[in-house]
Amino acid sequence: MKPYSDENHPDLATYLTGFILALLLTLLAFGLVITGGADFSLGSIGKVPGIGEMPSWFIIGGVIILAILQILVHLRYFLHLSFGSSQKWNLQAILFALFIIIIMVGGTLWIMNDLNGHMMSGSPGNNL
Amino acid sequence: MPEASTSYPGLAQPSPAESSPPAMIFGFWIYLMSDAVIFALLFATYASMSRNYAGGPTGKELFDLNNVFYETLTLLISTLTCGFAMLSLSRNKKKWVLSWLGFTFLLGLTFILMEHNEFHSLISQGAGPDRSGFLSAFFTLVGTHGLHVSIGLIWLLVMIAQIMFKGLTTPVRSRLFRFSLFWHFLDLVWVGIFSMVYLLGVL
Repeated sequence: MKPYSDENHPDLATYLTGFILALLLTLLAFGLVITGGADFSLGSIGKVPGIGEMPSWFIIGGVIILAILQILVHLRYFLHLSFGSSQKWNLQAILFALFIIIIMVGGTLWIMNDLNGHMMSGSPGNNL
Repeated sequence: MPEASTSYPGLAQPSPAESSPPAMIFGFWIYLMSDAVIFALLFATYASMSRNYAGGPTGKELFDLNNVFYETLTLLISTLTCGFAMLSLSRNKKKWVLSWLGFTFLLGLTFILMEHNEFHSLISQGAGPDRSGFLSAFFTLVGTHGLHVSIGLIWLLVMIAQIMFKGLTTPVRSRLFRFSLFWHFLDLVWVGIFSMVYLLGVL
């Protein structure tokens, strides 16, 4: 093991940056759903002007993009993953895992959606 | 095998004779990746089942975003205190390491209790895992994450005991570093859960 060097050492600033970025992305994601959710239940208040005006593809896409960004923030600032030579093997492992995940998750969603399209006679939501 | 280990916090002391911490950290990283595959498939299962309500309650009726927000905040702060513990470790401040790990434990325990309350209220409303395909997939995914956090809490208690009785020796440092990877990874999985399950579930 090499002697310890302070250059690559994650310091206080690394953790605080990661925390603040993660917090901002979390607030954005919750804010997007709460203020923009189409026909979002607000109890007796009902539909407040300006709420429920965003198209649902925008909210869904926004939440997914914010989640991916936050996962990258966690990898970079908390798990200290980087493109440096010291992280080469970790990076290869995560890329391989990502490859497996894309095949398995993508394949599952594709097949199940396809089956759903063949099996269901309308009424989505009534099947077990 | 990874050679350079300079970016791992808290592993300052060289260990000539023992098996090298970087190799063990890489091994643990492989475990985390296999765990990531498990969670990804539980996410895929949930996504396929998320509209199969079987006439039962939907996510929009069941999920309480306030509760989810506090759970998210608790876990995020616990990830920060865990990072602070690793910083104190690299400066050999044993008392600070113990204090930050203590905070991490309390926050993790709070998270588990909040999740327990949520599950309890869902089941007492008749929205248990046996109600519909949607709820089976929900309880499997969120419950697996909760189980990981619970095991992390036990691991954390063991590490606190090891620091108190063995001190900050090289094996203890190496274990602590792997614990911090595990804890940060669990927060990363939670990002997926609160986004995909709860936020998209109430739409």
